[in-house]
Amino acid sequence: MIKDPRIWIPVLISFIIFPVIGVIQNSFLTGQFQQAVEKPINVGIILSGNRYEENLLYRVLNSISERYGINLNIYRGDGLDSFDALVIIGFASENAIPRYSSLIIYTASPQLLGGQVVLSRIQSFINEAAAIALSDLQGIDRATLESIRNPVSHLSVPYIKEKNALALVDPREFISISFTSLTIIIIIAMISILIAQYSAISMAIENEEKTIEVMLTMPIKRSYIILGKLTASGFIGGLSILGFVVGFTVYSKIFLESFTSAGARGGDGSGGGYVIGETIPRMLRDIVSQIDPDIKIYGSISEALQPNPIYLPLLTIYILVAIITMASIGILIGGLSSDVRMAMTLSSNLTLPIIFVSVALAYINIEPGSILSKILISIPVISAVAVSKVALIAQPTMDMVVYLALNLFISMILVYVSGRVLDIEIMERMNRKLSSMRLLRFRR
Amino acid sequence: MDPVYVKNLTKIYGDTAALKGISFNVNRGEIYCLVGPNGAGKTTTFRILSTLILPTSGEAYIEGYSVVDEPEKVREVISYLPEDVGTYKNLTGYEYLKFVASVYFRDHRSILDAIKRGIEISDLTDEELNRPMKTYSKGMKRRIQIARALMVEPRIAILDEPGSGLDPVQKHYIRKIIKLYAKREGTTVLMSTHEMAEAEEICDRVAILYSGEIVARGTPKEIIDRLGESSLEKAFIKIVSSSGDGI
Ligand SMILES: Nc1ncnc2c1ncn2[C@@H]1O[C@H](COP(=O)(O)OP(=O)(O)OP(=O)(O)O)[C@@H](O)[C@H]1O
Ligand SMILES: [Mg+2]
Repeated sequence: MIKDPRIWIPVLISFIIFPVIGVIQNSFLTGQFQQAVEKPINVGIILSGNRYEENLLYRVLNSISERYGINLNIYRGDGLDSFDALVIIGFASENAIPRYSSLIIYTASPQLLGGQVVLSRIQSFINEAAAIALSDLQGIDRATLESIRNPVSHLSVPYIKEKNALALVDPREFISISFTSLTIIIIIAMISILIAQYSAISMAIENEEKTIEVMLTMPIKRSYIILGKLTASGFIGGLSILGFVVGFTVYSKIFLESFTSAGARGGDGSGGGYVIGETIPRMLRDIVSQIDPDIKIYGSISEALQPNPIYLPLLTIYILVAIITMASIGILIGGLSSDVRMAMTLSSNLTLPIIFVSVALAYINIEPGSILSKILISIPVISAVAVSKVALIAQPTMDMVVYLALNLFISMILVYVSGRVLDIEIMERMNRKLSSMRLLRFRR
Repeated sequence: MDPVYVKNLTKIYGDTAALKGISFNVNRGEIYCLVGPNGAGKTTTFRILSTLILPTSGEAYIEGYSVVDEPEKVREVISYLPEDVGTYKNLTGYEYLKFVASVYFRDHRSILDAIKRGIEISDLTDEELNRPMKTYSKGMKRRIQIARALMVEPRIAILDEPGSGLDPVQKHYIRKIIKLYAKREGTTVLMSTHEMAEAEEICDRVAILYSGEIVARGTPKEIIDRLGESSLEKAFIKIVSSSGDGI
């Protein structure tokens, strides 16, 4: 079976899809983005009133333009296309509060994805210069200016409800972690679908190539045939998981690298490192211990998201059950399909609901212990998604074993049913029914 | 007990009775043929005997094992060639023979012997055996299937129209092989055909199946003589046109 291109081509695709996307994004999207961040911008300036304040701004602009990678020139009527942007500076004083205005005419092209980046570079360039010019006009020194512009130094600490713990980490890291766990969920969903498809195809190949009859008259136990199909699909599924994970790692590396390097070169100076000193944790500890002495405080993201070691075997079993379930659903579908195309069509119907449920699960917060969560965690495949979602944060509970047993039970029923399908009479009957249904659909 | 023993076998599909209570038995080492027109029930009989489908009623034993109650035992002693069997497109002929041999045999020696027999029966060249089977002609596919069925030296070979779709030369070759194997290895062969000339040439005994019933049986010569005809074909037509009277 492994030799059949209809089987191995999808496996190959699972290995290369993410890196290919990464490379494409890197060379096109981030390439343009980088260009927009790095390239020197030609800006033409028109001082609308030629007032003192406007000239002051122009002088400040000139003094900081190099730092912003901007070539600044007074516009002398040489046409719009010799500049990336034309800026018309104005000044007004309303109710004795001085304010600059700017009108930026910039070259936008649908091919240039970085147009927005260019614009924001010009804007922050003008902002910076205007702040300096205004503070000079008002007689405010630079230090005061700085404190007005950044009046509060923010530090936020995420509270992980499931662990009753605080994590002294950059909240942005948390977001990237949830992005990763969303990816894991999607990968599990996709793998489940692929596995169903593999086993459906491998069964349908037997039907299409009319080899099933011979196989069923050979001295091979039915359970052995099913087991063979299950392990083959499981093996192929495992290979695809590996493919996706390896591919995704390569992809994130490519993506993150080009992104951060672009960001570093075009950095606007804000943000920067997220440094937590010594005093804040101590202070936090004091305050927190008054709120709830049981609250734990984690110092790093890996510590905060350390899954309970129980989860590894637990999740493995859940995924295994998911694989068995999907493989036997695949066998059912494949057994009832007269050819590979039909098997593909039938099994592709699984894609939408599974992806939909998984993505919904990823975004919806389900109250642990609610009826809904109990139902979800009892159904194979869905439970694997659900468990992988909570694995990073939640504490395992004893009743998970009960749900696992339920999962196993359901998947065993499916295995049994898929074994029943290895019967020529049942297959032929179902086959005729399915094809007549399809015929009807075509006739309409 | 005879290698094949069938008693009052019936099979009803919805409202068509494909088999209306047939009985026959096959002796060890003989080539026994079911002959009959299209839709007579030959394939249905073979599918029951090879444990693919269940009879509606009646009994069938292969080497004393009931096809209904002990299908796994039956599968160990038979080898079935369906009438329109396919081949795994992406396997080579050699890989296929090897796979089948390893299903039937455990030890290395027997597997190699079986493959050797298979290659001999298939009469395919080395080059052909190492090509994916999707490149095979109909005749080559049929030959590799016959090789697959006979090389494992089953006690009983059930061959459904072994020569179907082949040219006269290939047909002749296949008949020769079947005869050779039945005689040399003592394999009991149960086969079907709707070609009377073939039946006359190869079968030790025939049963003429018509519309789910056996309407005549015996050696080809007995049937021809009984009806006073010159060939099995003529006898067959005579029987079929007067069928229902019983002969
Ligand atoms: N799965 C099925 N469902 C309904 N009827 C069937 C089925 N299989 C066979 N039949 C019917 O049973 C009868 C016997 O069919 P069978 O295939 O056994 O004939 P046969 O002797 O092998 O014919 P042929 O020489 O054309 O191969 C036919 O009338 C056929 O239509
Ligand atoms: Mg037939």
